[in-house]
Amino acid sequence: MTASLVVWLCVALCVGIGVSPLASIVTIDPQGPRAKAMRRAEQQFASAVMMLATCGLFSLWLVGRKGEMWWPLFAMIVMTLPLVHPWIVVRGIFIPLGLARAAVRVSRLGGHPWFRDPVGGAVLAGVLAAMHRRKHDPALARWLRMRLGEDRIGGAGIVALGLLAAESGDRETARIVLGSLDEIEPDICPPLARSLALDWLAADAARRGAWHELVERIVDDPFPTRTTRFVGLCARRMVGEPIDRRSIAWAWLMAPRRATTISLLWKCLRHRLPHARVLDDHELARLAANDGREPILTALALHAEAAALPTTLPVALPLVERLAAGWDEAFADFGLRGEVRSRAEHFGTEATGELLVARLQRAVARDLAALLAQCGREAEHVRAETGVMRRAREVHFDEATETLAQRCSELARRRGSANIDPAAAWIEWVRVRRAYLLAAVPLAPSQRGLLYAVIERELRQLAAWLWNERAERGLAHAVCLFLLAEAERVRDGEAAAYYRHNVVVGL
Amino acid sequence: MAQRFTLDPFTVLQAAPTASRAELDGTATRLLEALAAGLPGADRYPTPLGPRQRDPDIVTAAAAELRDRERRIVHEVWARMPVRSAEVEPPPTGPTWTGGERALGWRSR
Repeated sequence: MTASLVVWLCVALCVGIGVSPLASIVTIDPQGPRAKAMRRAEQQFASAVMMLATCGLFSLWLVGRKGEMWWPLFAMIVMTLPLVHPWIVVRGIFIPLGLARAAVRVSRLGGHPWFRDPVGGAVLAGVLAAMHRRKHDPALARWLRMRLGEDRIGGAGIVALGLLAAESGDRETARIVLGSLDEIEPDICPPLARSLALDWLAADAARRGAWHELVERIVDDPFPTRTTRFVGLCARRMVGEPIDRRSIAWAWLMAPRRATTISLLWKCLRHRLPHARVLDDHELARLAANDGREPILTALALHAEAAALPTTLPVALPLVERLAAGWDEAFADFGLRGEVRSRAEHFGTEATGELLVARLQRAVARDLAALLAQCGREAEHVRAETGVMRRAREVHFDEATETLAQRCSELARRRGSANIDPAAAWIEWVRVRRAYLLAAVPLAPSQRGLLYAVIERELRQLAAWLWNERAERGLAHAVCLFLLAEAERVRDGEAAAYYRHNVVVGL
Repeated sequence: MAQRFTLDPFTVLQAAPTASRAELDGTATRLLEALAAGLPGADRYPTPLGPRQRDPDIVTAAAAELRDRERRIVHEVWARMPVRSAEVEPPPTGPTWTGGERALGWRSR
């Protein structure tokens, strides 16, 4: 009876494979990454069926000889399952024990969850194992980094690259590399790799106390784990949302590894929003907004207020606009101009008073440009088109153009001397992209177009190099997608047509 | 940006913007001697952003900067900002949490 059941089960599985709908080659490129990932998944499924059938038949043979069937069937399945599904062994044994090289080699057998990026996934498994070691091992990190260069890399490879940078202490690079995963097509990015990147970025934000950033990241997570749900609730309470303590405690109880998260629970429950600071009369009189003194003193007071802010924190745009307005008033003041002119005459300088005021204006514009960069995406809404703010935008544009041109020429030099592999090229590219996006935020559309022209030529070459010489179609596709979006934004029709063609060709 | 206030030569030398060249040089010499002798209080000076540490290098650089008359006139404008002896408190930020990577299960150390 049981023997017939096993045979019928295998037959039903084979029928299931036969009747399951396969994707049409009309909609999927047979040589594309999606088709390759589907083929790998089908191969694993077929291997699983074959394994079950073989074990079942062998058990039937044993039934005929000894009259026992179930224990040999179970023993054979346990022995052969890791061959078909190596992730079980890698996740359950090699990663917790820190056996990085074994994790890479066994993961290279393929299978879930790295169908979309087998090479990168294997290296990522190795990196995860390396993270479980007591100490950072630079030799092992180099070995893992070299494995990435053996074949094309996808999303999992990029996550491995980011985690390797974090392991070596370069958290800034790790942050931008893991953040660049949004640029990668889902067809070459395993969901587990994306989830790992999100987890790391959330943990990094909590480490820096950047709770606003963490809330944004968790909101974007379509499938939060129980831990990320708990951390997200804590972050929302930290930023001042009215989250009930009981719901946080309940989320903590539901999450695994409670011993490691209890410190966050304690901090979160004790956290109170800072009350608005009460100003006494003495301080109130010193505030620039309440003081009817000379415009230059008002501008200086606002400038000092902005200078006192930590450079690591985002700056509110109204503060920058208020500062710019203060300086505009100061520069329009005949008193200041007259005093500078009389001092210039007193010292008998070559530069006139007006020129010295212009130098002062340039210094202020430089500081405003730095503040605009610190505003992040909010700087997009900057309104002032005149006075010192306009000058600040010009200074910002000049400096951004120079910086990006330097970065691009450095990238071209390294690419030309073959002193770079696709993974390192990707790191350089995400740096250029981030610098460009930050620099372009406060610029006028015409200036943005000029800035785009600075990076477009080199990035076009980079995409062609990745595609033609290194066969990294996924990475080249991501670069082309970004260039297409920007070309359309700055209304560069010729470039947009070129990149549209490349993007349509696909991965 | 903060250096415009904290490293302003007049602020470093604790001199008035109207001071003459000889007065500024004399102040710089006195400060260098006091720093060399380790006199108490010579290594601190008030700025518009609160007290800062003073060393011979910034005193020498401040004196040299003020010898350029054109730059001096620009520094005179920045030096109008009154100094304060109390430390400027940064805006309050939330607590940090370093156990995230372990809690998510991908790290054991």
